[in-house]
Amino acid sequence: MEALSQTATVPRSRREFMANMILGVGTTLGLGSLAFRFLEYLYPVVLPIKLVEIPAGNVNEIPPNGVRLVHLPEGPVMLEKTDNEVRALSAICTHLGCIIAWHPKAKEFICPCHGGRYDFNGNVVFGPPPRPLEKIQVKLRDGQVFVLMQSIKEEKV
Amino acid sequence: MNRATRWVEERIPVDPESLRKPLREPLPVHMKTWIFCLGGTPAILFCVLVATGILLTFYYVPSPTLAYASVSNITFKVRMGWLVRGIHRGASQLMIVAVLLHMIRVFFTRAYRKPRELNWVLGVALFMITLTFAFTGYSLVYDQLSYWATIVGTNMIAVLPVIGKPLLYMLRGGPNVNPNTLSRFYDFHIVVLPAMMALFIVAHLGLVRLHSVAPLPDDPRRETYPFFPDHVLREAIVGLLLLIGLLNYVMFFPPTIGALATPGITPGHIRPEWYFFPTYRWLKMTSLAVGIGGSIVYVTGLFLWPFIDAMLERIAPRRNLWLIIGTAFYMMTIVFMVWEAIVG
Repeated sequence: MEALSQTATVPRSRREFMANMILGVGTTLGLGSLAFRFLEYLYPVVLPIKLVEIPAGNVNEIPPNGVRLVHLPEGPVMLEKTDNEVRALSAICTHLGCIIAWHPKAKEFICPCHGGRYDFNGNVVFGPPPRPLEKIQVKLRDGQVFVLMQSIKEEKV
Repeated sequence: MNRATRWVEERIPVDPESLRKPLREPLPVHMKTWIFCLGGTPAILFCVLVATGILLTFYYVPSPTLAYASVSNITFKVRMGWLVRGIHRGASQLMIVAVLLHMIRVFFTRAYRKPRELNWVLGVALFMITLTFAFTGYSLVYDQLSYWATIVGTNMIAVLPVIGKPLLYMLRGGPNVNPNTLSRFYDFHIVVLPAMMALFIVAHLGLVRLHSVAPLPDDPRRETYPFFPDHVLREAIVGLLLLIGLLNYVMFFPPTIGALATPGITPGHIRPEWYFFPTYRWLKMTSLAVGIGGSIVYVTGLFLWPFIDAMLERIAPRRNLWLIIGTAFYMMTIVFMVWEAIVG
């Protein structure tokens, strides 16, 4: 310990100081960039968002002024039929991602996880969800419902 | 015998006396009270968890299509599989109880005060590692609870500003919960977290040794007793009692398994394991930002408690603010936990 403190107090030459500094900075940069590459390795390849038309069943399968939950590989969707339109809402709760359920008596979507509630239009009526349910674009062709959703053609990388 | 001893001594030139000295570390006599043995229990349980965890890896398959079947196989088909999984599961729950009780003991004896603040910080880090262990552990079963806990738990991270989304992608191995997520959680559970925990336990115990055990406030006794064999024996008794308790628990309540994870359907009345009840209740009661923000403030407060205590002492000496605030927070946590357990 004594020897260590003695060497620490010996004044260093400028050359020695520069050499140590270059060595220190070089090692830090080298190891740092390697660590960054390792982090990059862990970061998943995320494909750009690509919306595709997904068939979601026949329009007659949706009860009038009611709701039908369809499980698509791209995600669960709530299809709704009003007097003059068919529309779709994402069935994923905007709070923390659980799947909501339609309660016809209460006429509300209720999340089983943290108790968030939404009305028929997807607006929050109670609980912690921060925003309304996500609206999904719908297309109708020959009585068939198509929803525009993000493609899930994503490989394990 | 002498030749053999000499042979070893020549090849491993360590003075046996230098090894014996730290073992004889004198401990204050108050450590003989059983409640002060609590600190050793998480370490004992960690060893039990490592041993049973290694055994579980012989049959567990970390793949979404096979994980559930492999856990079911361990639980119902593999010889003594129920015992190994039961002990692992039971020890993980007991570990949380043990860490909590140890923390409460340290808190109310104020053993975290100068110069031992950093050891409290290390201890809280160990508590967080324990909770992460539990979370990643039950995510591996791949039943409904596992799946939805993974969804909710990882989504909570996404709420953090700036770093939330990259961190979420990093943890899940993609934007959504996917096969990579299970591999990553498995990796965390069996490699990263055990290594971190072992390292932190060594640092935690190292600091206890460097500072020696904190004196008990208002205890006039000055007698000591040696760490080895006296204290080690006491810890061994605690360890054996824990094992007996665990074995009985597993025999009366063998492990089961919930329904297979179904990504499209969140079952009604789903809730996490009991140790997450306070956070769960809090998240139900508040908006998302307040829910996550409040949890972060709570955990930060826990980490920085020794420094907060010192500050309170400076502001209002002899008012015992530490006791009032600390008790209030403990009570609040317990109330949230019991509330969730009863009301659901």
